Amino acid sequence: MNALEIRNVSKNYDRFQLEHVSLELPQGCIMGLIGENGAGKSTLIKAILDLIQKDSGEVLFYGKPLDSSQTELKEQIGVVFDSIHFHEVLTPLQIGSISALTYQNWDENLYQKYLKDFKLPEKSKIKDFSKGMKMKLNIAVALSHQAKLLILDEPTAGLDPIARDELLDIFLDFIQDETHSILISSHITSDLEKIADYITFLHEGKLLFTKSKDELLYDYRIAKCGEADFQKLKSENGAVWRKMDYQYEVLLPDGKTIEHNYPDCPFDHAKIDEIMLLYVKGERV
Amino acid sequence: MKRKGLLLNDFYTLKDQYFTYGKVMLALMVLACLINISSELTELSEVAYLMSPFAIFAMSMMMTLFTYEEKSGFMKYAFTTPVTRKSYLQEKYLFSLFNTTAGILVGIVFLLMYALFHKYVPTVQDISWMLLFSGGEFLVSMVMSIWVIALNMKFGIAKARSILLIAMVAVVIVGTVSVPASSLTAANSFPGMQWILIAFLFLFVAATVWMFCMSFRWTERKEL
Repeated sequence: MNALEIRNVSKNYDRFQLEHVSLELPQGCIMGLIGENGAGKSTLIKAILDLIQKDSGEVLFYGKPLDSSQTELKEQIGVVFDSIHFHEVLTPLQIGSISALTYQNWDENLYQKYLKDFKLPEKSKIKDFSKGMKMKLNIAVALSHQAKLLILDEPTAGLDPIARDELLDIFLDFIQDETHSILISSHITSDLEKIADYITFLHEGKLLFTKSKDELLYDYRIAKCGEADFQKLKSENGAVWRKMDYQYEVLLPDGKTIEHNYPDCPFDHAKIDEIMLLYVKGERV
Repeated sequence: MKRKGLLLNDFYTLKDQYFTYGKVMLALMVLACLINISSELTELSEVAYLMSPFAIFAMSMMMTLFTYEEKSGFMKYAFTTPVTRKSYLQEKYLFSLFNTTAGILVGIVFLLMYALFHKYVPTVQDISWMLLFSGGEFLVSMVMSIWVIALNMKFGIAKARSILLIAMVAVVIVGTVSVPASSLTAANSFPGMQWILIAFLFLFVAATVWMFCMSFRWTERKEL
């Protein structure tokens, strides 16, 4: 069963088009959404949440169409943006009261537990919180109404490594029972390498690929080679390359299989940010 | 139930503002009492203006609320929760109704306290007049709130504020020129001006109703 299905979603702006994006997020999985600035990640998330009008396509949540009128479906979705959207004079206690009246399945005990675990003072105003504390509060709210799907738009942006690590642990705990799912958009690819099951890459409004993280990290290779090897490698299936000062960097989706054909050429495992860089800046046949 | 959450959010957001305005209003009213301490009150209508700040305050709270919401991006978050866009807008109108009613009631209480301070016992005629005046202020304040809410949904609060400012200046200019000209007894009266003013009033009412209806469509189509 797919927690989320996006079918052929498009959105046109004057200077940007999100074109026919389709993807599936299986239940119990974490999907990382990557792409350069302006690739369309936030636009896609807004289209999923019906914050913008789609020009075409549909979004299904557990097989049911998701739009702004489907309030019972939204009970099961927790959303975290990159900043907190309550006014800064509110306290966690007040936000809890507001949320209790908004969500039918609001769990006040669970919310209090998260406030305690995250060490968030419940009577202090949000304006006195650090960025990390605000993000933890956001997540506490998102996790306290029995959501089955978390949609996170840059939740770890601007956080120090310790805070990021704490949040990643929370996300991993969330999907432990395999009935919960997460769609997370992030520039911090190292975070996605830690927790994601799937990676979806958006580039200039187009979906370049959706692959499992294991395939990207274990099958993809980057070859750093001279001219002779490059001329052979560039004709391999799916090869993307970039000419550097003294060598070529060639990204090979099937590098694991073909690296033994090039014994003189060093092959490295590809990291997600390297894959991104080559896809964005590289050339291909 | 969802609207209760929104109402609570609005109240919490403006709580500090209410206290600040309350203190300012209290200070102004004490000042008003002290300045006129020696003057004798013969009719409550003489001090009608003392009620106006409360109604204006109630309407301005809506502008403040939308400014805060735009700054925090609350609407974006609200539309991801189990709150429909229609409910969101309905709650805003409901909140403006509460605000306006509270503002008028406080104004009435203050006027009565002012009268008692001047050892004046309001007559039945005074009470009738006060209720009539309150009703008029309530209507004006609610109309202004409708315009604030609708224009905010269409253009955002910054443009809405500019449009309202221009509209208010236009009304003042038109009123200053046309009200004397419409008087049948004034030396410079213009016979047709009354009908022009009535037509203008009808147009204004029609525009307000249109804004109210369109605000729901604008909210449904608003992109965040």
